[in-house]
Order: sequence, then structure tokens, then C-alpha cells
Amino acid sequence: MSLHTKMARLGDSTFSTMEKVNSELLAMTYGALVTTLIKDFQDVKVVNTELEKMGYNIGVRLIDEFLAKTGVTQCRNLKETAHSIAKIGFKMFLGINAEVTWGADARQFSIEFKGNPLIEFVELPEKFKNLDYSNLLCGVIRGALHMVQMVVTTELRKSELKGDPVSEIYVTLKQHLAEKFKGEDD
Amino acid sequence: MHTLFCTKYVFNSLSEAGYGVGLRAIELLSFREKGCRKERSIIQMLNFVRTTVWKSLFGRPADDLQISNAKKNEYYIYDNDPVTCKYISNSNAARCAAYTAGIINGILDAAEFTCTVSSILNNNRMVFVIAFTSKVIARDSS
Repeated sequence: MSLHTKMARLGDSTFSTMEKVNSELLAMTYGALVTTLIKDFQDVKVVNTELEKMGYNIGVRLIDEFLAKTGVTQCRNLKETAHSIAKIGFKMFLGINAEVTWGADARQFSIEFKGNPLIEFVELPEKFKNLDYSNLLCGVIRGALHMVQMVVTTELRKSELKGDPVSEIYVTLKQHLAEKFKGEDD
Repeated sequence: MHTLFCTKYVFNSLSEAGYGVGLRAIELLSFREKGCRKERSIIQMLNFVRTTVWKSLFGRPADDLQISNAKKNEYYIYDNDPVTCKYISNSNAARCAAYTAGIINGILDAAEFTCTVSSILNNNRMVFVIAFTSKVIARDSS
């Protein structure tokens, strides 16, 4: 059985054991959150940054949940990391299937997905056409990978809300961090 | 620029955010669950909130519904384990039920049962205190 099929199976089985919440409540809560941010900050660019920051804080905690629930061991390379996020992570937390496509070089990949539950019922009005509504997900990926010693930048390149057929998050690996241990005695 | 750092503002914001969700939730649920029937009495409406709304939003009906002994316009809905307070570790966890209070407020206001809703932690149970306006009480008793 190929690694990707194993990952897809693991994603499905973990999804079925996860405690679930009403996806419409989630969508409406996220919408209320974005609306409150827009009301407070007014500027779309600032809202995008704040959403990404919130996502980062979620991601640093979510990675523990991911590792605990799935029991996956260390990924040997970036390819496995990318597929873990798309096949297992997206499936177990959002319930959607995502695909990985590789970018210009081996350090860049994009995750494409349809049917994002966060954008259910949402329409972007004209004056917010630069709002990256699902930017929280970009932050989640950045935060989660930071906790496993990978510094990445993420970008929401395509969004179903802006008329594209799929949503796409583009991930670029900047560097691997070495684990630092505080010297105990000397 | 940031007005977010005053805690009272944060919890009022949560309530307002929930209000918007409540307005939309009642539209969705009336259509889906009730066949667009309109509830006429307070008790029927509160039972709708306690069972249908709670089941659809949180997966289980609310634990209890009671009327206050002292004040005739106050009703209490109990929830032993509110989902909004679940993973929050600091002392403000219970106040996050302001979001659900906002949802209930939105639902009742949109159904023309104007009220104010607040949430209080009592004996480890979350209580949503629903205080209807006198017009609604008068309309209900006639």
C-alpha cells in the first residue's frame, strides 16, 4: 500500500473518531469573528495579518492534537510533511480532501482544496475583495510547522470566494531549525 | 487604535457577534426544522430554543429550563458543559458563554420575543438568564 493511501486512510479513520461540532455553527462563528475584526481594524490588510496571527496561535496548539490523535512519527522529508498536512490534517480537522502540488523547486508546495467549511454561506462584498477570508488556515499551517522545527511562509493564493475553482495555500520552506537545549550544568 | 484590550469590551463583542449568528440561525432552523411555523407563547419558544436550537448547534438538548420564582419575566436555561468554554484555561473561561448568550438573544429578538440574555456560572452549571420585556410578558398572558 503506498504511503499516500495509508495517509488517506489514517485521515479518514481519525476523522471518524474526532469529536465533531456543527459545521454551520463553525462557519457562522468564523464569520462573526472576521466581521468583528473588520469592525475593529477597518483596514483589510491589517485584518489579513491578524487572522494569520490567530491561526499561528491555533497551529502551535493544534500540532499537539494532531500528533496525539494520529500517532504519526517524524516525517522524513518535506514531501511527507506536505502529504501529512493535506491528507491527514485537513481531513481530520476540516473533513475535506486536499491535494498537494509541487511548486517551482523542492522547497515549495501548494495545498489545494474545495469545500472549505469556513466559507459556507459567505459572499465577499466588492469593498473587501482583497480580504483573505481563510487566512486563518495559512496561520495554522505556519504555527504547526514551526513547532516541528520548520520555518515556513504561507500565502492564500486562490480562494473559492474570489471566484477560483479551488482554494490554494502556497507554502514555502524557509529553513529548518536546529533543536536548542539549554545547558544544564556548564 | 486597538480597542480590544478592555475585557468588558471583549465580552460585549462576543455577545454582539453571537447576536448576528442568532439572527441567521433562527432563519435556518425555522425553515429546516419547523416548516416555518411561528411560536406564539414564551414557553413554546423557549422549548424550541432548549431542544431544537441546542440540538442543532451543540449536538444535544440543553439540560434544563426553569422560570424564576422571584421575577416573573425571567427564565433560566441550564447547560452543564457549554462548548464555548471548553478549551480555555484561564479564569475568564466562564465569561465566554457570552457568545452563546448572544446567540439566544438574537434568536429570541428575531422571533419577536425581545429580551436581554446574560450568562452566569452557578454551581458549575452555566445558566443563561433570559429577561423578557414587559410588553412580551403582557402579550403572553393575554
